[in-house]
Amino acid sequence: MAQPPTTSALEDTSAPAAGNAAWRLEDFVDSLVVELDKTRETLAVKAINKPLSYSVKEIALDVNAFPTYDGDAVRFLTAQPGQEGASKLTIQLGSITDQQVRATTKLRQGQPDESLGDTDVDEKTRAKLRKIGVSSVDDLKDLQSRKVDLKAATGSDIDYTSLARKINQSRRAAAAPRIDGVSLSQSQGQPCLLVEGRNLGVDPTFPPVAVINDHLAEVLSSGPGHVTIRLNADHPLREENEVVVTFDPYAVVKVNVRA
Amino acid sequence: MIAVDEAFLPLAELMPGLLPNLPDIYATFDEETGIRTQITGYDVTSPVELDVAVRPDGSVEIGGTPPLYHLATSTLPVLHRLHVVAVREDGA
Repeated sequence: MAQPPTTSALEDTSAPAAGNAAWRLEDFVDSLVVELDKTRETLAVKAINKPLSYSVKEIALDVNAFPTYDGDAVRFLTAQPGQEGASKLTIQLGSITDQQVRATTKLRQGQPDESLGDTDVDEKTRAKLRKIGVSSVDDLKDLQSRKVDLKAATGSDIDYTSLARKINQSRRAAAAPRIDGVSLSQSQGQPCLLVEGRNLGVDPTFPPVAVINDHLAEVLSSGPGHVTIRLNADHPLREENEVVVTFDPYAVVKVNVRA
Repeated sequence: MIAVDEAFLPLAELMPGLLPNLPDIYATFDEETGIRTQITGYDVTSPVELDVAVRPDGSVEIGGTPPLYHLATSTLPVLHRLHVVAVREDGA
């Protein structure tokens, strides 16, 4: 015999999300729209090779669910096998034409967009950005160039500066500095420490900063493959030396150098 | 991350799968009448099973699949309904 959902199942909206959990209509529609966006992107990629002869005009989804009100919000519990008497929600999404696909979907040319999913931007922020159609770093740059107020658009405290910091941090982590060797050298007749490796001084707007044994040292030159640090005659190298180099705000390296 | 049951597809994969892969010219050219037939659109309504997973932050992940089993059982699955209307593009 068919069993209706138990009262406890309907009321327990804070239960762990495993199994059948109650959802808010707003979140359901958000997810549906995101899925439709992804569908549109799939169709746009197909359209590059073969022009679409058909376009999706309308999509409707009827969902059997039990509405419930916990005193705070109305939520829905998807009907499960054997449960009868569920309400039917019909969600209709409008048409997508081939022209609209072309007009609203960016053609991915050259290098692929850097997805926000590849960055350190947290899931909650990504979800809020996704709701307003932002899924890549390029989307974000586009919004910034149009001077869109992110705080107002997302209804949260997301701003371009904090996002840029997280994105740069992720990029730097993907191209982390690697030191292959440290040696004593001469530059312009002065003794210096030559740090060699990869991805060292990569930010032209940020000259590296070096500290040797807790004393600030002058960086004579830097590049992706090297950093040359002048040795101060007042602070000669000891047997064991601690060298800290800040290549940029996201990359700080500490090495012990034995003289 | 809470994920939908692996038997279910994300809707973004399910929906394009419902698009037909039919030739533009459906019937051969009739030399006597000069008539050529082509499909101008289609309308599909399919029962689907849904798995709606809710993440801890309240966001929702929807998975769907055409009916998984074709056997009559004492406890029937809940079949929701997905309706897709597609039309032929002008000039296609």
